[in-house]
Amino acid sequence: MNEIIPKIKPSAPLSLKKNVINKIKMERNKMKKLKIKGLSAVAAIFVALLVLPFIFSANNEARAAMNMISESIDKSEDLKTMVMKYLMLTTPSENFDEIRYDADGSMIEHTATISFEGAHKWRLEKSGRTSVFDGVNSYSWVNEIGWMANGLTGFFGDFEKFLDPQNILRYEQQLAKDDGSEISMNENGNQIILTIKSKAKGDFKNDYAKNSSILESDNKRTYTFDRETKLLQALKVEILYNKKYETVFETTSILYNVSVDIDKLLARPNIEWVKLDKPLNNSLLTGIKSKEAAKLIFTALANKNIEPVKEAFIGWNMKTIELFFGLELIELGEPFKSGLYAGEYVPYKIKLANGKIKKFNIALRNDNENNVWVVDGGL
Amino acid sequence: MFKLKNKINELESIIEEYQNQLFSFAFFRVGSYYIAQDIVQDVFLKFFQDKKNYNHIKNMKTYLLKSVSNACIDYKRKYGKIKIVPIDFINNDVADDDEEQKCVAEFLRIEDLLNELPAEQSDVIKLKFVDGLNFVETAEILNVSVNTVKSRYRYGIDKLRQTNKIKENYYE
Repeated sequence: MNEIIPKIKPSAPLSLKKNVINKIKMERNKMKKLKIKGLSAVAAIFVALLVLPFIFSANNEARAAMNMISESIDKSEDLKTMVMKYLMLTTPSENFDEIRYDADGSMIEHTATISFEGAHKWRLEKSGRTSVFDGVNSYSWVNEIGWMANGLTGFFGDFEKFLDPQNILRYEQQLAKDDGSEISMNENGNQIILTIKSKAKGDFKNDYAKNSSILESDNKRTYTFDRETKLLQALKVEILYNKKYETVFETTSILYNVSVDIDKLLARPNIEWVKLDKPLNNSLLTGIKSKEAAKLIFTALANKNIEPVKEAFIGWNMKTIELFFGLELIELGEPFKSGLYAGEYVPYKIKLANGKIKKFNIALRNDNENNVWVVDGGL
Repeated sequence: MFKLKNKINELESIIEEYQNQLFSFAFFRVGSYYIAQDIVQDVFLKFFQDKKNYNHIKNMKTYLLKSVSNACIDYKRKYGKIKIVPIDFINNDVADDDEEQKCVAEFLRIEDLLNELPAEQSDVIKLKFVDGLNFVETAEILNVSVNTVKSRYRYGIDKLRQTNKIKENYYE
């Protein structure tokens, strides 16, 4: 009677549900991986970066808005400290300049503490990651893994470029060429509210990076200024996704000139720091196309020996790298550029040591001093 | 955003409820943990991406089983009837080797038992004995009438008896 009935039936692997949910997240991330280009030290920096396209705008409303922004920048010059709390669509340990869509759609709380007295000092933290700039060096850590570099680094995102007001203006001039934005200014009691809508920027012949950052998305920024002090009170950033604006960044409080304990601001754990700012040298990864670099990198991972290409993994955690040891490279596609990304994406298909097939795009860039290809993401 | 969160929560509940049955179903069609997992994952993904909501689905179990069944048919069409993946390739987190090997052995035994039957008969018999479905559910999955299912079942069972592969009638 029992011949046809299986004596044993397999149970679904524990990873099945996780894989489905992760894949959904990944698909969403592909569409919604957003890079907020840093966090500004002062309200003026936010203002300056996000309204860049409008500085030379011809219409009156835009001109009035630019006057408002200029006044805010002026007022911000006298600030001694600022503590800003904001929510961002990201994950607890993700880079600060990236917004990631998480399955539960939660916004992660961040706190930025900045002292403008003497050399500017910053501390930016969320539950899984902290970054500190002590005026000379930058530090960033996730649990026991720490990175450091001289000067301002990518720890704070691209906003570091804008710490110098002159740089801000230069950047504004550059972006002012864009005239496809809409600006509106409204008064609401003691508040002045600026709303700016911009179209995505970048090369989207291949639209892979479309919606991968605020600048690469159709987006809307809403600034609220105090009419009297002209200081920024709030900022909200939304991106247009599926014909609907979704909030990806929103300040919850901005306090100016509050007492800040500098020792606490600069405190960092006693861990080993990986130096990120030493010049990269690797003849294998220089003077070749990105596809060849990708092949070398995957081959090293397949051979469980990244020594020949270790520079490609600058700043990577060894445990993460080891997840790819023993892989089998099945296919490499043709590299492409997309959006504003300085590097190239190389499509790949690999079989991991555990048998899983992975198909994605490795992000490689070589815009460093010696043009060494490094892995920027996508593994 | 919250709608999406709810949708994901809903999907998680559906996965939890049906994953074992769907995985077993796929496994006994393709004979590989790895491929069965891939197929079921893909079905859930497509299900998530395609469905604005799940309210219109009358019978979730047969709806999903039918999707997995179609995916298995597609797989076999593309890669051949059965493709056993060597144990070495199988993901360590999929299951322990021992259980997996026993299941593969069981799969091969049942394949051998049914291999002389026409596919339409072995499909019905598998759905009944391997997947534990009744004739109504089977008819829904195979897109045929219940009567057709019953007659295929009888023909199949008769043939198995004639070839001494089973000892009893198994008639309802």
